[in-house]
Amino acid sequence: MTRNAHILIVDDEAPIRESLAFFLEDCDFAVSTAETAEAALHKLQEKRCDAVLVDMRLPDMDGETFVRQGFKLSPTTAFLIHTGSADFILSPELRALGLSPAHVFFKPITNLNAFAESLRKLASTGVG
Amino acid sequence: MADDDALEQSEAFITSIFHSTPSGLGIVRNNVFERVNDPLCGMLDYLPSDLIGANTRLLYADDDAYLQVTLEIEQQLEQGTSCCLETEWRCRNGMAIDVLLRAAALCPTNLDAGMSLGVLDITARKQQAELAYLLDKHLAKNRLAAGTTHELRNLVAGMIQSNQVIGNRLQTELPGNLAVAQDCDIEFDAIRHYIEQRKISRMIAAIDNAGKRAIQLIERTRRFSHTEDISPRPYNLVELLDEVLELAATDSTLNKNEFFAKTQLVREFAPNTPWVSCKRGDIEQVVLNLLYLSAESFSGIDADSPMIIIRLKKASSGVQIEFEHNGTDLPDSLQRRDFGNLYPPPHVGAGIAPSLWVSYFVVAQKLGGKMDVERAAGNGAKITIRLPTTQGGES
Repeated sequence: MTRNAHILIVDDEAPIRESLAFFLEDCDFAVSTAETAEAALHKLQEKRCDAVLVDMRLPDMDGETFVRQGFKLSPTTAFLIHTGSADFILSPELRALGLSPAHVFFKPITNLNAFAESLRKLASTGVG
Repeated sequence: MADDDALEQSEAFITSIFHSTPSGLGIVRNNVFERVNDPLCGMLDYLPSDLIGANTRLLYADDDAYLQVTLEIEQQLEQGTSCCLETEWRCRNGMAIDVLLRAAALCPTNLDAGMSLGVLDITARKQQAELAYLLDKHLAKNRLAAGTTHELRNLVAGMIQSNQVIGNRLQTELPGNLAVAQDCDIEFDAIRHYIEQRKISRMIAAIDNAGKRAIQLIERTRRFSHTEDISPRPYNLVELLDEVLELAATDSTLNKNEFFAKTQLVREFAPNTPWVSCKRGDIEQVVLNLLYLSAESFSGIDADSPMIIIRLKKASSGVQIEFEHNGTDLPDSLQRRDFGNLYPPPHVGAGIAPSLWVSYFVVAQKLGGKMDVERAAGNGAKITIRLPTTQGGES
């Protein structure tokens, strides 16, 4: 029996965080959530995550800083960007960590089934 | 005899200074012009003979304005100081101009001897300040809109995504759904039958559809408030104008206009219109400005069938966009082709002149096009914009 992919969702907006968690749980992912970057970094240290979906505007840290710190803690985890800024562009620093446009998801995700499929592939390959 | 010559030379010298100074100058006694120089006459479009001997009341819109200014000048001169104040004067053709007046008594101990009056036309300066104020306000609104659209996007994301979870948990035979239904002693098919019978599936679909439309509107508003094009790129104007008109339907300024609500908006877009190289935000700004201008034209009149026609067609050397309405004509002061010299003249209606001026600026300076205004065939006005097409005439 294969292990369910473990996804960490980091977003301070409860409806977004919970709706994603519920949907992914229904799709047989193992899901953890965090409201803040600091809480998410703790969770990354405690348990391995296959993928982290992170909002770019967190109350205690910007998403890019979180990805850089999270990558140091868990370099094989796939870090995925979830942003409400329609003109978001990956910075050279994030690209250097292996992120590509395929790792960026814009809010709202209007087709969660398609998102779950993408997530399954990205979680299995990790960053880069 | 020598004294007479010296006096004559002195008089000629003073007269020369009086007329050659670039500012408007007048000598006023008992509120009547005794002397005026050429720049003052040119500023007001009067002949010297019109002004000399005339009461300064001639230059004010009404008695109140006249009395207020003359009283203030008198009071300040009595205190032994020169006087400097801003007011509004009327030219011979009735056009209002803003002026800065500097009055000084010719004989400080005898005010009846009259005063010299320096006059500076500050209309352009005040209008530039007004435009700078409008621009600043516009930028502030854009910043607010950008922040608001981001927050709205988050809210709608929560709604759309939660709705998908609801649909998934009520309609899909997932192991988790089946297990919970069994715990509750309910057949999952019964749940599905119930939600179909109560048309809940249709409502879930309606929420999803509404959420996606809301996101489209938010995105259009964001793009308008935060022009994303760094450099011009080819646009299909048929599609772009359709999108802007949809955005206009959500514009609160337009929708608060009771006449616009009754106005029929007619689109006459020729198919296969050549593409135009532009920044999306520039076209949006011009179209919304001219729609606002057209809507304003119905204020204060009882139009039977208010109508704004927007035409888009191929022109001899590019693309032509027309805004025609059957409201009031534009004031004569705006019926000019040479918009380059047009500062928004005051008293032509709030917002009308700045809208037109900004639109002209965007069309001429940003889009490399031309803009004309003319009277429409019946009532109203027609604004025509000609834009060059993209290289190669993509269509």
